[in-house]
Formats: sequence, structure tokens, C-alpha cells
Amino acid sequence: MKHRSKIPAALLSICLSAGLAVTGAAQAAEGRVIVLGFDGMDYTFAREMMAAGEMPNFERLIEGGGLGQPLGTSVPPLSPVAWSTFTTGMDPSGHGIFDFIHRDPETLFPYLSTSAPEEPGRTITIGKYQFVLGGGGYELLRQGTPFWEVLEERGVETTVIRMPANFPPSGSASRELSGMGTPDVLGSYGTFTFYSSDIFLEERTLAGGEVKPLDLWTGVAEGTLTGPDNPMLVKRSKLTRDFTLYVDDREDVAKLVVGDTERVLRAGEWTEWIDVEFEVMPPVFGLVPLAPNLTAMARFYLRQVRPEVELYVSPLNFDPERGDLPISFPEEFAAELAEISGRFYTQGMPEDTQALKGKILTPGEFLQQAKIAGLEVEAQYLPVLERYTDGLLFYYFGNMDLVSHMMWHSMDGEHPAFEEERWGPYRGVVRELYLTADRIVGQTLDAIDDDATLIVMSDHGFASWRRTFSVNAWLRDNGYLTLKNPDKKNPSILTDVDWSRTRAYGIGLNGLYINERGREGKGIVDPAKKEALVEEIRQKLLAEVDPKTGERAITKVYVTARDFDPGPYLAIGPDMVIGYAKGTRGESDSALGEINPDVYTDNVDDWGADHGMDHETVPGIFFSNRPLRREVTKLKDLAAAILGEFEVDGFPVAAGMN
Amino acid sequence: MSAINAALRPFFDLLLYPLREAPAIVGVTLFSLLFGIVALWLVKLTSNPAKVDAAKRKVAAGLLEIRLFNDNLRIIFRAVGSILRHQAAYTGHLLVPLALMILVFLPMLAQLEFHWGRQGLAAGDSVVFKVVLEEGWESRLPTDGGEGTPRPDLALEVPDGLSLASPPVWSPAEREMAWQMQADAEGAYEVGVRLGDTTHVKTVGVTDSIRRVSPERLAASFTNQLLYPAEPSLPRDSGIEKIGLTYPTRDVWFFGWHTHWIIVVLILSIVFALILRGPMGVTI
Repeated sequence: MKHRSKIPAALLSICLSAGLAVTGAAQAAEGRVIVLGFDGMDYTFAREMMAAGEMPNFERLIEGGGLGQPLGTSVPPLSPVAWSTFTTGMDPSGHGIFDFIHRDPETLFPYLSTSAPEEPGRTITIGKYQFVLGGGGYELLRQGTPFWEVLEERGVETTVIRMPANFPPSGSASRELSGMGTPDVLGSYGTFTFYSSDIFLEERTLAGGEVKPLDLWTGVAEGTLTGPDNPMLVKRSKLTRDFTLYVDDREDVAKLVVGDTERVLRAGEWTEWIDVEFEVMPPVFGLVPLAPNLTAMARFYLRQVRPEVELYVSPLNFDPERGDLPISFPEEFAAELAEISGRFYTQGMPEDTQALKGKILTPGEFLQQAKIAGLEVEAQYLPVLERYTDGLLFYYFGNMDLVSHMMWHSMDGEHPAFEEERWGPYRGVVRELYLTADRIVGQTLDAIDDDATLIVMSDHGFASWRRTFSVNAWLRDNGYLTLKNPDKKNPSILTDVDWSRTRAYGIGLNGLYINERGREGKGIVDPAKKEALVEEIRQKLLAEVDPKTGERAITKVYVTARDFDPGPYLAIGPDMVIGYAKGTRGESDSALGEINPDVYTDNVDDWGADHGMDHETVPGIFFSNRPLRREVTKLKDLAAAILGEFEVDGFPVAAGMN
Repeated sequence: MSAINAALRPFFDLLLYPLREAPAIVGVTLFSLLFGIVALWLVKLTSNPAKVDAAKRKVAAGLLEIRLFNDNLRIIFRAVGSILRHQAAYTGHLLVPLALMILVFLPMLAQLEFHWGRQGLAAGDSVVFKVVLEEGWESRLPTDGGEGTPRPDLALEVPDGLSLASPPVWSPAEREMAWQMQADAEGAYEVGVRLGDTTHVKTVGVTDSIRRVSPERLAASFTNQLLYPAEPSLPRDSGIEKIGLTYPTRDVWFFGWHTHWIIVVLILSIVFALILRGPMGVTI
């Protein structure tokens, strides 16, 4: 059982209380602003629900002269880009986040855009063990000055909970908890494990998960959880922890044993967070530890016990009470939040969309899991709101976005993946997400005084995603990308492209790069001829018509050097950003450099809705309980408008100044 | 041992009753003071101060010898031998009081562990409640006669304030029946474990105060009674090895450090003993 400590939560209370002005502030500012960020809340859908009288609290929010309007999103309209734009008030050229995925121009190897693991420091080796002296950790790749930093400089207390693309926390707010972009214990965005006693089930690795065997013998099933590499061993070796399931031979129930923790589970039941302790180094003489164990936490879901035992284990999360990963600032802030409302998913995107995509969880099971994750965030919000009295509070809700990705198309009978039996029962799920948002807005309105400003916003909207466009296949078919062996199956730009005859390639969901000489490792395009090539490709892409629908597949192509604001990070982004027509999106595998056989395909994936399209077709929302001092039409304006409520100017801070 | 525990349980419950709402460190400090005084008193009562003092002086002399003649290897070796010999003598002079301390303190520490070492369940907590049978139970205990693997005729009688969140899991390999039990409300409860016609009782504490909680009720044996005195042993012929549930562990705050209470007692008792040895006229 988890040790329960009696650390008072007073620190949080004290920190969130009024009147704690930052000393040394040059020019004190005052104000009370709460910003609720609902990732992926769609303006049109919200307005339809409001018109039907289903969102009374949003009506309440604007009835006294407040605002309710669409919010122009970022280019491309992807969450890390959009939230970074909100955070810094800048284009990607100013904050350096152009997509989920960037590439190393030398090797073209893709990497996650928002944070990067740092190299470990010097090591001392003794036999098979190594002792790392410092180093390691993560680096935040988002650049630019976050708007809360400007407020802090003016003596305004700021609390920023789960801002995406803010891992590790910037350290410039009074309190921060990192959100999207925070890894699990394996260093991934979330890797689940599915265990089955079915001897015919193949052990395999899926996108975002693994399938593993469960050895079942006379009612006792044994499995092994796999952790990260053991940092103490010179030779790379994964940390492991065995677990046991004792299965009852009459009822659909089993007892799970993981380390010291025991839990009796009915089939179809989820556990609370359970500690998973990995022994990094055996103690000397079995008593004296030389290195602390790594303790992660996971939720277990006993899917069934008959005819085969099936167990889902959530990604291994860092325990917010232990502080093994810098997910908050100050470091103890995460533990204080956990003390108040219980332990919570620390991985940035907790809703396990990959398990649904991989057909491991059913839509109903995915919703159960997503609800658990969403309720954790909601349960944490109310105590934070109760303690808030002054300054800025930003609170992020990510549940709506990830559930919408998987459920929005249940409202679209024309969607290629739609099957009435599978998706029909979930037609009302998105509506329920909006009702939840409405309830949260209502709770906030009830809690705040008349003089506080409440802003409710989203980073982008949503659309059903029916058709898929593979940019690398299109480049190949149009002679811009040449394969070494055209007959090879599942080719990738990493290994199978003849770079001496390739002028452009795609990486990321919307990015298109020119294979430029002097920039790319094997670049061939003369920089002087690049602009003409970009324009040629742009015109061709804009003329693309989907042969199935007869409609344009691409409605915008942005040339970053021309269409984005000048900024110091323009060089790391793509040369073009593709704005797909509403209903079409870039192919997922193509984003990682795969070259599909066909340019166009139906989207038959359970990930049936998206927003990585023409940014004008998927606006977010902007609501507030009063007119703001500064006009807001797009996401880029919002941070400056928030600062305006504190009568603070000078934002955005010129790129490169931080 | 059972009789001693039967007397000690209510005694310690009464003794700690005024401290039940105070932080554990308060009681730990008071008991450390008590332990320090009792330890000094036992030393005073049963040791020979002159011999203890003489042994200490010899050790000190050996250390001084090493310092003075640090360039003479022969003298250093002789001094080390002398130090070891007199250190052993010093320990020998204190053996009797040490043995008495163990005799006096061990039952007390065992009692206190179930007050300070663990905390009660909180309302809303959910834990595994399990009954483990003795080996060879099949030949001695009634089975329920149902399908599948033979299992004992075993059921729980759960009072209001607690509830079962699952049917039992029977693990023949472990000889164990386990339920998920939910603590619904604060209280001191007795869960009935009905095995055939006999019912045994197991206490369950749902409280945020410092109260005695018993994680396991064990089959009768001297060791079990010595180390798990928080509840009476099960009858010898019950066929049950143990009935148990897991309580959260409790760490004691000690100058910003959260640790097991017994470490704090050890440190504070030594500190108090060192402070009080002069006023009490004890040589250690």
C-alpha cells in the first residue's frame, strides 16, 4: 500500500494566496485573470450546443457583455505549435515549434519537437556498474519568452498548470506543472503493455504499446513489466519487475500482486495507481542499498479472466510525490497537488489513444480510461481554484482533444471508419465533453468575484478526418523524390531514398522540406533556385484534386520564409506548411518519413478526427466574461491581451531576447 | 506470552490515549525519554561502575598510547590489542543491563509498533483482506462442495462501515482466500471469518488518529505472540495460518526527516541517556 504522509498542503495554500508580491519587481501590476484552456474545443460545435441551450454556463459567461468568438489558430494548427504560439505570442519562427516532429537536417532523423533528453554526465565504471555524475535530464526546446514571465517580472503571481510544450517547466512562473510533452518512465509519450495468456497471440511492439505473454499455470499467471534501461549497468539492459495474477476458478475475479501491493480485481475493473518498483542495483549483503530503486506507477485493467486472462497496464508514469522527473516548479509543487487530490497521470497525453488505435482497448474501454484521466485533471482543478485569489491562473484540460480525435467521427456516418455497431453507441460522447467543459466554466463563475476576468479558450477546433494524403508519395509521383529501389515495400526516407535525385521530402504532419545543398546532409538543390522550386511545388499542391471526392485536397500552402514572421528559429522549420482541406490530413506514417504506395487513401483508422488542416477551417474558441482591453482575433494576440488585463505592455518579447 | 500481551494491550492503549490526536513525534519523544531513564536505571542497578570506569580508562589509555608513540609500531600493536581487550571487557560489564533492556523493551517496542508504525485505514480506502490456511487444510477443514478446485467453506461477516468490493479469489497454491474490502466510514470494526461452524474475528481500524491497528492475526506460537502482539493469537486448532490486511506505514517527522519511529527512539534515547547520566549518577 502507498505510504501516506502527513505533509501539510499549507505550502500550496500559502503560495496561491493573495498578496505575495515578488520582491524586486520593477513595476508592480495588479489584476485577477483565470484562463481555462480546453484543447481542441471547436467553435462551431460549441455554438451549436449553445444555440440548443445545452451550455448554459457559456451563455452565462458572455451574457453580461462578454465575448464569444472564433479564435484563429496557428499554422499549422497542431497543439504543440498552437500552445507555443499562445505562450509566446509568436509564430513558430519565434518559438521554434513547427510540428510534433522535427528532423535533424544532417541525418534527416526525426525527433520530438518540444523537449529533448540531455546527455548524461561523466561516469565512473566499477566492474559491470557505472555511476553517472550529473547530467541527464531534459531540455525544453520551446523558445521565446512565455507571457507569465513578463507578469512575474511585474510582481504578479502566476500559476500555470499543464501548459503544453512546457516540459521541463520553464521555471519562470510562481508555480508550474508540465503537460503535453512530458514523457513516461520509458521516455516515450506513453507506452502501454497488454498481456494475454493466449498462446497464439504474438508478442509484438505496436505504435505506443507492446503485447506480451502471460504465463498461466493452474490459476497463477505471471508476467513481467519492462522499465527503462538500467542506468547503473554499463551493458544496456532493461529494468524489469515481475507480477502475478491469481485467478479464481469460479468467479471472474483475480488477485494482482506487484511487489508489496496486492489488489483483487473483477474482470472489467481498473485499479488505482499502483507502485511499480524497479531494483536498479541489488543491496550489498541484501541490506545496504547503494542506489535508490526507480519507482514508477501504473494503472492495471483486468480485461477478462476467461477464456484467456487479459490484462492492460497503462504507461509507467513518474510518481508526482517522488519528484524523480522535474515536472513542476517548484519541484515539490507536483507532490503538493498529489497530496490534495491524489496521484495523477504525469505523462503529458494520458488518454491512451494508441491502445484504441491498436485495437487493444475497445472504444468503451478507451472511454473508461480517458474518463479516469479526465477526472484526475478535473479533481485537481477545484482545489487549485479554491486556493486562487490573485494574479494569473492558467489551467489546461486536454481530455476534450484526445477523446475527440477518437470519437468525433462517431457523429459522421459518412466517415470511412464508421460502423454503426462499433461507433453508433458513442455518438453523444463529444457532446458530453462539451457539457463537462460547461460545468467547469459554471464552477469557475460561481467561485470568482465580479472583478476577475475569466477567459475560456482553445488552441484549435476539430473536423472529421476522412481522407489521407501522403506527401512523400505525392513527391515521388511528381518526380521530386526518387527511391533507390522503386519496388521496395514500405520504403522510408531514412533508408530508401536516392538523395542525389531527390529535391523535396516530407517530415511531420504538415511539413515539406527542400533538400537544400549546404543545409541537408545530402542536399542537392541550389539555394539560389530554392524559391522557384518552392513556388512550383506550392502551385502543384494547390491544384491537387482528390480523385475520390473531386474536391481540392489542399487549400493552403504556406511558405515559411515568406508567410511567417521573421524569427531566429525559421531555419529549423520546414520550407512549406501544407494546409489540407477540411476532412483531409497528412498520413500518419508519412509524418515519420514513410513513403506510402498511394497518395490518397481513406482514413479507416480509429483516430478518425483531426485538426491538422487548413488553419482557417478549424478555429478555436475565445470566450470571456468581459471585453478585454486589447482586441483578440487569433491565438497569437491572446497572451498580449491577457497582459493587457494587468496593464502590462511590451509583449511579445522580441525573439532571441530571452 | 499471551497473558502478558493481553495485559499490555489495554495498558498501552490507555497510556497512549491522551496522545492519539498529537503528531507521533510527541509520543515518540516522551517514550524516548522514558527509555533513556529506564536504561540508565538498569545500568545503575546491575552494573559495577568501578569496573566500567576502569575499562573505559584503559581504552582511553590505549588511544593515548597510540597518539604518543605513533612512530613505534610495536607499541601501537600492543595498544590496539589493549583497546580491543578492554573494549570487550567494557561491553561485558554492560551485558547484564543490556540483556535486561532487551527483556523490558522488546515487548514494549512490539506494542508501540502497532500504534506508531502503521496508521489506520482512511474512509474510502480499499484493501485486500485475506485468510491464509495452514498446510494440509483439506483434511481438517470443511469444503464448500462447489465446482472446481476444492475450497474451504469460508465466508466473511462484514459489519456496517466496511463493505466487500469483490467476490473472493481462492488461490490453492497460496492456500489463500482474498477479498477487496472497502472502508466506508471511520470506526473500530470486527470482521467475522466464518470457517464451517466456527467464526474467528479480525479487527479492522478505520481512523486518522493514532490507535493500535493490527495488520495480521496469526496462529498461536511464541514468536508470533512476541512480534505480533496487537491481537490475540488464533486458536491452535483453527486451521488458519493468518488473517490479515495491509495498513499504510507511518513515518515520523524528525527535524524535516521522515523515518521509522524506532530510529527516532534509538537516537533520542541515546541523547537523553547521555544528558541524564550525570544527574542520575550513572557511569556508562
